[in-house]
Amino acid sequence: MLEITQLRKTYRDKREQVYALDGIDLAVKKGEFLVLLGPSGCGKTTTLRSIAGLERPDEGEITIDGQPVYAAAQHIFVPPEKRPISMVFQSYAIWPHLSVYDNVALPLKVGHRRLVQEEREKRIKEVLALLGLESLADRKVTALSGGQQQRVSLARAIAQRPKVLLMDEPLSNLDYKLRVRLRSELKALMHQLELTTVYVTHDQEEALAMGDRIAVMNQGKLIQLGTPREIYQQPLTEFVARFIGEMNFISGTVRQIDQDEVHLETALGNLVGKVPKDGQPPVVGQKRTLGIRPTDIDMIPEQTAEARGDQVAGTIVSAQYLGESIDYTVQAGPITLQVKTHHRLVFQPNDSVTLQFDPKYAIVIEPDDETGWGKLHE
Amino acid sequence: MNRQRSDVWIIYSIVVLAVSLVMISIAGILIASVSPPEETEQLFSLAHYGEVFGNPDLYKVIGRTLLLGLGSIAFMLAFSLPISWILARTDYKRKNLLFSLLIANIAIPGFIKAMSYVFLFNPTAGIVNKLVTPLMGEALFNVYSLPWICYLQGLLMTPIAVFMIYPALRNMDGSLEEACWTSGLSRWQAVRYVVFPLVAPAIAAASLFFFILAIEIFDVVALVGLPGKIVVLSGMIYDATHPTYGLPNYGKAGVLGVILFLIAGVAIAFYLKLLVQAQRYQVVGAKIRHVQQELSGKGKLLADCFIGVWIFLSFVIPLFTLFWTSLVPYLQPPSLKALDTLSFKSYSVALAYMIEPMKNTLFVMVTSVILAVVLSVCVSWLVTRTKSRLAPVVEFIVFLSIAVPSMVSAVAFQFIALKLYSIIPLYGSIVLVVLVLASRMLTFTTRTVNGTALQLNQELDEAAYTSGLSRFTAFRKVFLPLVTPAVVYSAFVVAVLAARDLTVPLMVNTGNKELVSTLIYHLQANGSYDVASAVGFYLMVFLLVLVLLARRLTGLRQL
Repeated sequence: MLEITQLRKTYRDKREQVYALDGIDLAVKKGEFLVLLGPSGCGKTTTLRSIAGLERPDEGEITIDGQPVYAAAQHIFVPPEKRPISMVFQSYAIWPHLSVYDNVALPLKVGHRRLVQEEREKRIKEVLALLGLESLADRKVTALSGGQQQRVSLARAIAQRPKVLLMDEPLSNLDYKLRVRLRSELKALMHQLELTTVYVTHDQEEALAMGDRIAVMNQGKLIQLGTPREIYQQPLTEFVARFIGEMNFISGTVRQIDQDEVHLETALGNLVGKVPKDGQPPVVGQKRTLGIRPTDIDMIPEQTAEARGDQVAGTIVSAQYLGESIDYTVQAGPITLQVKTHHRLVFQPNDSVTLQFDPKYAIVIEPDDETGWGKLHE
Repeated sequence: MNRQRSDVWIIYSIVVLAVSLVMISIAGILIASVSPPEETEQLFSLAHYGEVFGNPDLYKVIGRTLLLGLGSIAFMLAFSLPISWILARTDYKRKNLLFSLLIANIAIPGFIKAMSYVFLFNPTAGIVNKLVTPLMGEALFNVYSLPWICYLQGLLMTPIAVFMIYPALRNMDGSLEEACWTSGLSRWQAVRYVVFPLVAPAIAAASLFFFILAIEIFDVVALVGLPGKIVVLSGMIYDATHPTYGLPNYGKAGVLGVILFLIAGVAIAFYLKLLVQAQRYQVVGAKIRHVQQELSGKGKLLADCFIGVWIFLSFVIPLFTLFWTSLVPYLQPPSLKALDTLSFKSYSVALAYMIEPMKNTLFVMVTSVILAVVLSVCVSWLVTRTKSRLAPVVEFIVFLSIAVPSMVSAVAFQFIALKLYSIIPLYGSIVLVVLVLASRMLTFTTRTVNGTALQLNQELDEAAYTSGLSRFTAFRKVFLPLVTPAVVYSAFVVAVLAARDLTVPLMVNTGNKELVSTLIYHLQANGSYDVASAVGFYLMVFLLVLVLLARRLTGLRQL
């Protein structure tokens, strides 16, 4: 439905050319809910605004449903009003001088997406009902709550029946509880309407909860594209791993490769992990990093542990009680590790423990220094 | 503790002074209007109302005054709307230059602009008319007409209007416009259905504000309206208080002042309503996205042309005309014969004439700045930092002062001063000029300080109190330093406006004490065009220094 090829955009920052977008390739399938995720300034909003036609890239191509809306080589630039899209803005951008009804109606009354009166009224009624706004139809939009304004903005966008719906952090101005509730509502709604959606957010939890697929961006580049499970369990870089959740990193040298298991020699001895899907296959002798989530390290009191190869001895440094879980900082040799346990597993500082790494959940990736992708973010 | 407590009363007494200045303006004009004619025993009388309303021309004069207001706004909008648009919503390349020019333009007083146009286009001796009369057989232009007054007032209001309209255009969230485009509306439809309805209230509010200014300022009317016998309310008030023979008739001036005050009051009521409407459109908490439209080649050319025309009308014409007239003994077009008479003599004569008036102008500037700033800081503290029940009342009264035209307060203060002469001999003194100017500026300075004060967290005061500071100490050590930028900014604005004002010094009888502005006025009225022009140049240089200094020190916060 939406294809982006080699999209580039530069801007000048004190006489220096900086890439806002650095060769983005992306394809979104019909009916898919794609999330663009990344820290601020990573290019996700620029990508979205380029799809909308609010921003003019310098190079590359964008096609929607087979029709090019931007092609640098052919000098094609379709203005936003003529693209088959609609957009939900971060600030909602609902027109404050119009009622709820008129906000939805204006694009269907004038402009390129206008409908004949009968059809228009039917469409508006449908959409208002869908979003539970019927009773508010005649209200001034400025008298609405944030959540209601958000719905109006969504209603306006949906009513235009776009081929691609673009959303720019639509939930970021709402409070946490409402945000969590709207996440699932919104995703269900998009699937019900079979709308192709591109959704920008910097909130990793939101991305995991909503996306059919997630595109993680940083510094104008697309770093990883995959399902939420892939992104979480098999991050390609330290940057992705850190941006989505927490991860312990232990650097080492590749000693042995058994099919998909990679043995690393580290400061904690020999550790085993897997190469993530789409990851660079390592070669013996290379420097690699082993990554493991704090939840994937098992911690047992020292005396009860049986001696095994992938076990590491450590000492509890500190503990942070979080209710459902406890975050422990553990010193293992020269390395400080984060371990998250169930709240019933209680240790005291200075307790000696045995840490057990599960090779199924440990990944072996290239250090960020080599790719340079994660450095600036730290 | 006791001593500290009594200190706060210093602030309260200054607030009382501020409120009474405004009240004197309003009460003074009302009392003056019902004052009995000379040699009667009555306490009050409606004789002056009878006299004024008995004049069959009054309604024409009121109509003409309204026309003057509307016409001036029309010219003001014609200049300032496009300029504000270019500054706020396009990617025009020469914005910095344009911005500097707007600020520099404030250094050319309105009455000096008007004077240069009179030199060029007056029907009998105007330089341009002298040039074209032999060709056309008659004078082509007559500057002594209502449209010219409107044009000149529009021109003089333009830079200030831009600074008022620009923020409204800039602060409209650009994503509202983008939402139109992504909803299939064309550029033009976006302007028609969304941008225009949204910015209209703010522009209308600014227009009403300038409507009041247009009917109250006397600078242009004095130079063009009086000699041209174009009678508007401000001119009538001036005539009543400055009769060719006999005593000033403050009763009649009072009645006319009441009429002017009522017109301004109605305008202010609408102004407030529109302000509320403009604010209602602001979606709270939303981030504003500034959208700048790319100008096409044609658009750039159009913008350059428009700004070029404005520069020609508001810089080139006044400056060149004044420079030329300052060099020749009487008004004449440039010619070989005229070249023989060129001399810089007028500049040395001007210097000699200026010494005393300059001292007076400086005195008025400094004292009105001090008065306006001290009053407004105290009012602002009361309004924004205390939960006093009087605060809203004080705020309202101070705000009301923008509905009191300076013509009106000039009459009111003089009338009161005359009545109280035996107690405080202020009548005929330059101090009255200061009082009128300061009370006129009070709304502006208070609002400027309020703007900054409201952004200061209330907890800053609470932190001072819980740290053991008294209220007065907190005022001095916390509030004052934090509002200093706003104070500096408003001090400069008051200084510049006081130095370039002609209306108030002309209206207030100051005996033989002249200010620089009245000196220029009287010189040109007596036909000393060369010296008037030379003094004008000195004044503009002085103002320019002040304006540049202000810009450097404050960065002109409002843009």
